[in-house]
Amino acid sequence: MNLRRRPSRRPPTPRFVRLVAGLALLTVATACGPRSSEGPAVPGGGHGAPPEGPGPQGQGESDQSIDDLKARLNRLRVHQAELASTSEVSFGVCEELCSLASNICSVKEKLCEVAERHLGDEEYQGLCRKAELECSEAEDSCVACVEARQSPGPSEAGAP
Amino acid sequence: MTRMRILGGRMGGRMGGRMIWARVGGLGLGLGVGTIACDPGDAGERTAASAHSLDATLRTHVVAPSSPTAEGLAYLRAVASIHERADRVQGEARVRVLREGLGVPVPAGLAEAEIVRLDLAARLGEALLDDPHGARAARDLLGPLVAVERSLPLDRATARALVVLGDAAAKTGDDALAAGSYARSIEVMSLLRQELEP
Repeated sequence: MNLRRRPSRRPPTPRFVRLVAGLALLTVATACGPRSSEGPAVPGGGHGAPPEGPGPQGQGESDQSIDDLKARLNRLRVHQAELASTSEVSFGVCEELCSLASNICSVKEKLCEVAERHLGDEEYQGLCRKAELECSEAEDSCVACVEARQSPGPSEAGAP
Repeated sequence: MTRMRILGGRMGGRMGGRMIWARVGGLGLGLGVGTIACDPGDAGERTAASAHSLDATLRTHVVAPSSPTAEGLAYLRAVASIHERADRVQGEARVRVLREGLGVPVPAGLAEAEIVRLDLAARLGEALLDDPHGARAARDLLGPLVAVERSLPLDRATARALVVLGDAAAKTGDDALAAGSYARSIEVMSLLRQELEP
């Protein structure tokens, strides 16, 4: 009978903690204004392609230019709203996954603490090992979700 | 659709839509079998008697959304009001308020009430556990609600109730019930996680 088999308290990995912290920061960033990574929403300024449409012409700018700018602004608003909606959905999923991971690992601690009082009982040890596996899987799931969200998607990465 | 889950193996894929299904899980090496060694310990309400064998069987179902009704809305508002009142008080007063919430009659056809009531009961269990002698009451409250024989709604409220039952069982010296409840709670949360994964 193996009485000292497992180090049952696996603390959250630094990577997991970093990603959860990053997730929290992303919440603030998402809630606090437009995202600078959305190329078209940022005025042109030397980071690649010139801005779409005519540039500002000061007091001599024609009515036609103003109409163009208004139309462009509306397009950008629609585009930004679409992007924000998509990112909020995926962000909410990551938040939920990470919250579940945190809870699963917390309950795992309690379960394995009980199991430690029954080191010779394979049923308790089996439950503890299973809980450790679920905790690990849940953490990986959280990390993968946040990483996927942090890396730019094809439409964002290739946007002008 | 029925699904079965045995320790270490998963059968089937994801559950679908609103279809109500049951999932039977045995997280122990033997389902519902096992004798436990009593560990009376010296804390609180621990007793030498351990009434349960280790059983982590889990049956779940998805609660299908019901059609909105005025009675259903009134019930949900009443429960929300109960939670608000419970927020403002502590100890025995909070226990009283939450018990009152469980006494609110559930309108017919409101499927979601199962989850709402489970969440209320879990919170009541937590409030009872705040009292050094409340573990037994919490166990008596939640034990029947989340018994292994019952199919439980696949929801965080279920996971919460199972954790509270596990805490109450641990405090009363029933390690088998504690371990089984914790394991079932983890299982519920894992199922919820798998539902979210792309």
